[in-house]
Amino acid sequence: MDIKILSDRELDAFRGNALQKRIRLQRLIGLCRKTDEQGQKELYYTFYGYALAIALTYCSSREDALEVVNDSFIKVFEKIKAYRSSEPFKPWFRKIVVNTAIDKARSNKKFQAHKDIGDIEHPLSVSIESELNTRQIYQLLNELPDLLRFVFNMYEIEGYNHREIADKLGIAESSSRTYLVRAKNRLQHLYVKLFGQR
Amino acid sequence: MKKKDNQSLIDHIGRVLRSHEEQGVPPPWEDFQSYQDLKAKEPKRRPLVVFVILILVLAVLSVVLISIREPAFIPEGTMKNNGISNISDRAQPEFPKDPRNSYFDSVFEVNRRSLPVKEQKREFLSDRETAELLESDLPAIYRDQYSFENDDIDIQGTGHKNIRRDPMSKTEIPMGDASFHNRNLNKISTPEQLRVGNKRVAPLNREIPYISSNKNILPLEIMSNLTEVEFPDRKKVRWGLEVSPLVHINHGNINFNVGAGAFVSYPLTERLGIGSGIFIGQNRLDYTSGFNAEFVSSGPDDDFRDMQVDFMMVEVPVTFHYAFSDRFSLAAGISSLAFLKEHYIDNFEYQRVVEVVESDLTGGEPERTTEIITVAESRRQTYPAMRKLYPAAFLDVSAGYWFGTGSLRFAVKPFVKIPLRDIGIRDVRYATFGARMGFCF
Repeated sequence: MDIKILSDRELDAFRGNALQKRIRLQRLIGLCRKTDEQGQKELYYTFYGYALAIALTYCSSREDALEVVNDSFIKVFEKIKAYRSSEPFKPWFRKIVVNTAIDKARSNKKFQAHKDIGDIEHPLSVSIESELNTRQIYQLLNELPDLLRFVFNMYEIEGYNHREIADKLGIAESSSRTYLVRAKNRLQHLYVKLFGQR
Repeated sequence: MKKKDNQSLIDHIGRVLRSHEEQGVPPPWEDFQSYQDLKAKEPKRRPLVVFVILILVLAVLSVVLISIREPAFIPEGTMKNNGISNISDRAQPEFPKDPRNSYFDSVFEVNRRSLPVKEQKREFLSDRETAELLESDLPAIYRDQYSFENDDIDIQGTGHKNIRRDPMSKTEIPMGDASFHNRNLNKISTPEQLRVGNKRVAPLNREIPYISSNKNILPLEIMSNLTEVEFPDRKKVRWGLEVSPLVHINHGNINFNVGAGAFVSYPLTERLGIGSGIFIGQNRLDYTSGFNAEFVSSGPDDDFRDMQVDFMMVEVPVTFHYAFSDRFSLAAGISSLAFLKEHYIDNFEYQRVVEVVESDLTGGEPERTTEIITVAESRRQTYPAMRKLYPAAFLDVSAGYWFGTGSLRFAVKPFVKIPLRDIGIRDVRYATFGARMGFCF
């Protein structure tokens, strides 16, 4: 990782840019609280890519992801009055998208009935010689069964603990631990299978 | 090393996905708007409808239970209150004195305390068994009465359905005979003279369809007819009204409120029963922690201090109650609820720098200084009523003390409601204590 020490001028510019972004975001949030359509439109275009990126990690198809994104924005516009300005907006927004994806998955009977997640695969030794790009990661995740993908994402990416995962997905805490181990092993196997690295 | 390598793949995935944003042009805003309109038209789950259905089911169930009329024992207390003597644990009324009823004297004296309850239940006898019983055990006046009402059964074996046998003269009288209907039947079957204590009771059912096979028990249908008129306590379902002070406790905060409602209870067995009802309670609580802060409204500087919830909720408990005695009972069950009012009041406290102008009373220039003052502000958030139904929100445990006589009874029922889940949009959770006071009939 490169670390660049900014000059005072660059630092001022960076701060100014960040401040401008923050001010713009606060303005958008203020407009959305007043149910201003222009404000909602701007917020939608600003965070669409971010929302889609989150949704794609949870949904197995792009169509599902687009639906989750739209549902998430509906929720955001409904609940933005309850958002506290002192807290960062992005994590709040991310939480809504993740919860929407979970709700959608739980309403899916296939997800509910999905208990057969295959045999336990033994862990492989995997070293990353060339780093995977985002498309390849999505490809890997899409190969996982829904339940394993959700547990993996919630634990490794969102930082939920097993108890929270168990509550949200309606599974046992011990199952969450088991699914996480299986998801990791399955990803390693898939990585070797799809990208030939061992 | 191996573990480290494996983890590096996982770490890499996490690192990439956390910071990733999809590139490309988002679909037009109009597409989102049309999707939003489509979603708005979709039928949503209607908790209000579910709630109304629940109430209707409850009402129908109550009506069905009320309409069930099964033979029941007469509570001992009620018997005493109506001037009826005890001859056993399942007491029989004092029968009107008549010289010809001397047969019953011996029957009443039989001590049946040792008989199990199940042996005292009424049974339906076949015609043949009834006839045998009449021939062998019942006094003449009963046999005569029975034969009068059941001529076509030919229980006395005359071979002619339209012939009756006069018990006094031991002769057979054909139906065409003038004296066939002209009989001096027993006086106790005359409604005007059939009394218990000083009260006139219902006409006697002369068909005597229920007769116990236990010879120590009187034809209880007579009892049944008497009690139907005189003892409203035989009614199985009880309705009542209650009012209760409520003490709400959460994270060290204690708040007092009040609630009221109506209940219905139905005995399943002699001691066990099931009850339900509708209760409306005012729940205004102070909250300092333990709630979902995600939905706290934005304050001036977000110096959030605490929150108050102001709920008006309608609850439908379903409880099982067990009566230890005539006066004491214990009940436990679950309570489901929906909000009639769901308000959250966020209290903020923040500091402001203000300019203070002090006038110079001597006519000089006013002195201007700055001060930091603390400002308190409240903001209220309101959510629609009946937005969501919260099934099994509380575990409701209560002890009841009953007093009063007759059909109207009063009760004091200390209770505790233990939260089983978070309620409200901010996921609040609190326990409730109180004492329900009410009456039932």
